[in-house]
Amino acid sequence: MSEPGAQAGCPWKRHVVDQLKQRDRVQRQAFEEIIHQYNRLLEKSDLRAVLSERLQVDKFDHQNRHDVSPVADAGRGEALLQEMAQIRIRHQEELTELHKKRGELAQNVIELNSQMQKKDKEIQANEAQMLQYQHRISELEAECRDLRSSLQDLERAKQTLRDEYDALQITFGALEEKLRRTTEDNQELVSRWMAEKAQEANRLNAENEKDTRRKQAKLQKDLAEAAKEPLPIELDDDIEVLQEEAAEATGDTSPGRAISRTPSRRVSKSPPGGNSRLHL
Amino acid sequence: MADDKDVLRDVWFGRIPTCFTLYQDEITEREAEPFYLLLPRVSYLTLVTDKVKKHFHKVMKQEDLEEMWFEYEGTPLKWHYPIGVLFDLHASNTALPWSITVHFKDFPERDLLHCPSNSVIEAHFMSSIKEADALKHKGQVINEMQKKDHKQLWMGLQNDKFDQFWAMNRKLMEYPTEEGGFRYIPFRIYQTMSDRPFIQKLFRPVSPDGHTHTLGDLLKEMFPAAIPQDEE
Repeated sequence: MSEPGAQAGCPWKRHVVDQLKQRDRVQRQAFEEIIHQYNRLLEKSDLRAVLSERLQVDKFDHQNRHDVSPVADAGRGEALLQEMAQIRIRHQEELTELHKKRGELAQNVIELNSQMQKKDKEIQANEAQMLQYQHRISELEAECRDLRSSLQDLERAKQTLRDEYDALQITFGALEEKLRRTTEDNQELVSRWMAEKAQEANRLNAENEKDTRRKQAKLQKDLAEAAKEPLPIELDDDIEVLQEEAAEATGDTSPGRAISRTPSRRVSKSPPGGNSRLHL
Repeated sequence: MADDKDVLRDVWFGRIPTCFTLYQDEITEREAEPFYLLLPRVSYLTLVTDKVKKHFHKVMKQEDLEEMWFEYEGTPLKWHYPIGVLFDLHASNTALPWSITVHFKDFPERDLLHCPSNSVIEAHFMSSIKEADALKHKGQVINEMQKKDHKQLWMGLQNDKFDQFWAMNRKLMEYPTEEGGFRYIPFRIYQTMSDRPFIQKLFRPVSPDGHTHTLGDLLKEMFPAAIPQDEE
């Protein structure tokens, strides 16, 4: 029916348009109005034809019924005219009615339009709010994520600390155990050492005693030897006192007290020295 | 683009002033007035002549009415040709308005197709559209359309709604720009003085060496006799 052309502004396109306009002028515009008017006339004349036909029929009926009443005929025509006028009035009323209705409907349209606008605004507002909330939600979600991750970090840190603590606890336990054992060892060693010392002391004591006894025995023998040869020596008081004390300390083994005066002096000096050292 | 739209509108709204007169031998009860009408060029006779039928029915007896058909200077007018084609073919050289004679009897069975209802016109119209699309896009566009789209095309034509029709027809007139045109140009060259009613052959819009064919190229190839007349 038409060619969708290549580029706009081609001279041939202009030509086609002009030719079409020309054709329209000759074939359409020249006849448009006249054909319209003719058709209106045709309608009118048709209406008139129908009316006049009805008039004829009525007249015919009328004449059939009342053969002699020429006056009524005129009245008949008048009645018809009146009827037409009534029809016209009725149509006029109907038209007014329709106009009124149209006005109402137009009003309705305006109202509905304004309502629609209001609703549109509401929708927009709601949408904006929704957007805001969406924003807030995403913010909160981000925050929540952050918190969750920091919580995780803390938990990890806590775990690390706990592990460290446990490790230290274990180390502590081990050390404590070691300390206990060491203390025990120490005690044992000390007690063993004490026992050793005691033994040595006993041994020394025994040796000392043996030594002492040997010396006493030797002294006794010396004394006995000395007693055999008479000795004119007077004993002074001091020596006598010392002699008594020495006899008491050594357990009074010698049968003759008065005899062991000289040796008791040496003995009384040495045992006290030995004893004091052993008691440490 | 504005030019294109103007052309589409002017083609669509092209009208032919026509005077319908009842055939003299038809029996009427009273004198039949002629009936004048502006016929749309792109429509079909039987689609736009309801008023004509009504007009002449009024003056005729019911028993004398058969299918209406039209004739111009002795030639029965084929309703399945677009009105513009009929006019340009038979009456382009006569004075306007175009005078068509209306018949209600003696239907010329050998020359015309019966047209009992508008659905027959619709079927014919749609088949033309499909045929054209088969040439333009191998029928792909029309086949992809839905039933209601087809209906819209038809209703647009039937009710003389330019925008309604072209909203759909636009799709049928599109082509990929890289191809520079349809596969083939759907065209028919109608002729009166021939045993064949029209020429219809495959014709590409672009020549093998890439230049765009014009209407002149088409006529030169299909109907060389038209060229000298054109140049007169």
